[in-house]
Amino acid sequence: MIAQFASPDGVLAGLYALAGLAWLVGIIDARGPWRVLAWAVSIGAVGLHGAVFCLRWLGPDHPGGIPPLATLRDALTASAWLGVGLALVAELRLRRGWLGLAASLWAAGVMFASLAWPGVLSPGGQTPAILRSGMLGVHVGVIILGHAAAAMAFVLSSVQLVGSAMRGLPAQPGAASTRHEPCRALPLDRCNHLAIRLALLLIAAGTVLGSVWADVAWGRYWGWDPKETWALITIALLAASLLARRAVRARFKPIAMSAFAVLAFSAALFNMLGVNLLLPGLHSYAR
Amino acid sequence: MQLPFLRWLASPALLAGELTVLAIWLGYASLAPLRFLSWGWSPYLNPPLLAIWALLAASGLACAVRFWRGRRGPGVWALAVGLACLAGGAIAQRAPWRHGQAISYREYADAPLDGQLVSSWSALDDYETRDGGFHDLPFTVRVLRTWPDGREDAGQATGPITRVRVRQADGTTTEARIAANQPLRVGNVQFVHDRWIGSDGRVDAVVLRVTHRGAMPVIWIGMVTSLAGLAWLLFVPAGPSRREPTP
Repeated sequence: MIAQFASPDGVLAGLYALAGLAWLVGIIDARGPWRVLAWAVSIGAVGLHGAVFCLRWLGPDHPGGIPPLATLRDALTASAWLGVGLALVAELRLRRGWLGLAASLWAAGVMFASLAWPGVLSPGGQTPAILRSGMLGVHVGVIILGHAAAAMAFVLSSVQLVGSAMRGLPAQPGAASTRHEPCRALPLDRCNHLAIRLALLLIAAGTVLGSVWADVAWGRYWGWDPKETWALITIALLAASLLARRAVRARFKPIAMSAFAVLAFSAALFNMLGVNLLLPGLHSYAR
Repeated sequence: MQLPFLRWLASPALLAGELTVLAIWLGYASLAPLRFLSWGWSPYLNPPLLAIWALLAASGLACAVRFWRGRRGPGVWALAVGLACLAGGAIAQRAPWRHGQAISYREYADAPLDGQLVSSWSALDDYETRDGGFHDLPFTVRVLRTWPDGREDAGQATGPITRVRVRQADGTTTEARIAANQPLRVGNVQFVHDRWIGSDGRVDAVVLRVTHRGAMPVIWIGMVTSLAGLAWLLFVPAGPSRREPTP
């Protein structure tokens, strides 16, 4: 176990956890040096993870130029890497630290899980013939980037819901609030809204790309395979979270959106783990 | 455009409710099919679900009408054009009249296949399953396509099977789909190959389906355009109506 933590994945797990801690302290103490530290550690972790990914790609375990995305463990660790990268790009604009915190926590959790249960997430065996395709990197890459964005939304929504439960709903001046009032531009709410929109767009794009690949490989675009069905469920719940935000009065907007976002990530998580490990289907090889 | 019915159909609350019902129904159907509500239909395509889909389509259309008047108009247009291209391309590619017919293994010789000829065919009749897996069963089919002017294209397709139907001793059949190898092409014709195997492990029948790839550019254009439209709808904020400026 200790040897595993000395591996590249173990170092990456530690770096992501450290980055998450730095982002958290940076949010609490915005004037300190913590944000600079968070940026530095996050960039270092993403760079190191990219190098590890490329070395695996070029290594003997992945002949024929197939990217290391075929197993569940590969997909999860890549989602950690791509998620933090995506969060850093978004932080360039938002500069609040919330997306960096959420992505780092997700990445650290995923990397620790891949260290703890390597056999469950990455059984041995050859890469199935179906995955020896150029579409693997495109379809799986876009989908796992979407799942990383959904994970960020889950972390931020959880913070939002727990915070609301502890502090109560934000006070509204007067009782005349309507559903057409602009939502108060709270930093956490803004970041969460962005993460949900990114997740919806990326998972929808990945699903459409997957259906085009399915036509080439299996002779049909859509077959109600459990993986496809749960991707559709995730898309529906992400869209419902954005609509719920528009449907309620201003003070309830963050709560309504967050509640649906938690459900949407639960569906995405079941799609990532439950469908692969429990349900039979065409995507079972993705284990 | 101010019809109350249209406003009700396009209301976010109704849309969110429809999507939630759809998600719950599909999730339950994937885990434990709702046979008592399906009336013998597929768990994913039955009258209640079709009603939800129809309501969703109506709500989506009403939303598009409302969005079209504001700053999200280009997004609506791109999404509509993209979805039309996707649907048109998919239908053109999968149209029944463009498919090859299924040919039985025992009728393989020179069987007409949507303008092509399968000239020869070799398979392992006495294949026996090993460890219950069919993944690496090899087979080879030579395909000969003849053009009206007499020209011929020949190609050879080799790969593992994609689907297995096992006939049990009691007469029942079970079916399993298996990941296919890379698609096999002769010109612009792609063969998605299925093989049916009896309980004795012998090849029972072979199904070849022909898929024309000519509509792929339309599908790619549709995909890019519809996703661009979705991105516009998600990331461009709703602005005031072009026709009814707010005071």
